[in-house]
Amino acid sequence: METLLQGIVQWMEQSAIGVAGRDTFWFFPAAEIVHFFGLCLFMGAMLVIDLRLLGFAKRLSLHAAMQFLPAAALGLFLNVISGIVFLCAHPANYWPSVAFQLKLLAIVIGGLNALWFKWMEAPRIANLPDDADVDARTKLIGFLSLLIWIVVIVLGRFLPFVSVSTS
Amino acid sequence: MNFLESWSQTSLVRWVAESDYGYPFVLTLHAIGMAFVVGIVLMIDLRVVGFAPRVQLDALRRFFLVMWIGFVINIVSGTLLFLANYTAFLHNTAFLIKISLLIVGAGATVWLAREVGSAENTQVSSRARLIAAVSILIWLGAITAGRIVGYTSVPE
Repeated sequence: METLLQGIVQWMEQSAIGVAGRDTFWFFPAAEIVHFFGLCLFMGAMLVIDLRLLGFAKRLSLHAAMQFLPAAALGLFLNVISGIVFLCAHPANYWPSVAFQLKLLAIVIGGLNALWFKWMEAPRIANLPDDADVDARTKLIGFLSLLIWIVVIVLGRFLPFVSVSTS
Repeated sequence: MNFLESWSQTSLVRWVAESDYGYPFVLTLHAIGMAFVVGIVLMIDLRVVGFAPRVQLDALRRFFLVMWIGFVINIVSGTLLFLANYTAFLHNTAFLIKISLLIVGAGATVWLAREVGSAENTQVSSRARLIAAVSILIWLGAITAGRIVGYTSVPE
């Protein structure tokens, strides 16, 4: 298992993406720009949907707000792709970093929270009227979503400043 | 620029410039503020352009509040980051381009807010669509310039 993971990390590092990330001067910064733009797309959609769930802007139709989900999906896609560029270019800056490990963990928790919303909450609110107030359980999921994604931004922004342990 | 020098010597700015975590802390605030401002502007722009047509524009306008909160966060955090190393920023072309784009972007947003302010759900003028499309490009440009600033002005 250990060697398999090491093999994958090494393969990523030696891939064309990894080489370009290190040797082509604009490639890594370009991936960062994509990462920041993707972040804005993703968080913009999450802010509208989650704040509506929490009861903000109740005149906005609960169901219409969900039409922003494809924007979140596009943002997430951009961030996964650009994030992979970072990992390929400089794996040693990320995998051993506590900030990166916590960020990955937070992303997984955020993903599980989103799946919970899709499978457990979305069917429950599907038949509510447009101006409905969702119940406390669905509100909690919306609140957790905002909290987790903001934590992801915090960890990502601290990542370059938290030293990587050499042990 | 004497006043900049004296402001840059305040203990808050020195904390940002010299402590271990002051700089990343304020950068983090700047990233969160960016997500609020650009995130909300992008959703409004996308809606005006024609995406998410069932979203009522007049209801979406409530989210301008969230955008302005992000704007205040970023003016405060951005000013601190600027003062921490202002001489470098004043000579940084990418920084000057970024500030110009922010002013144009904020202007476009205010203009768009007026343009769609009285619009009913279905009718959006072609002028509003054009402003929204240009606005997306302006903010993408501002993010690009901001990233280049990050590469060209690191506090010593």
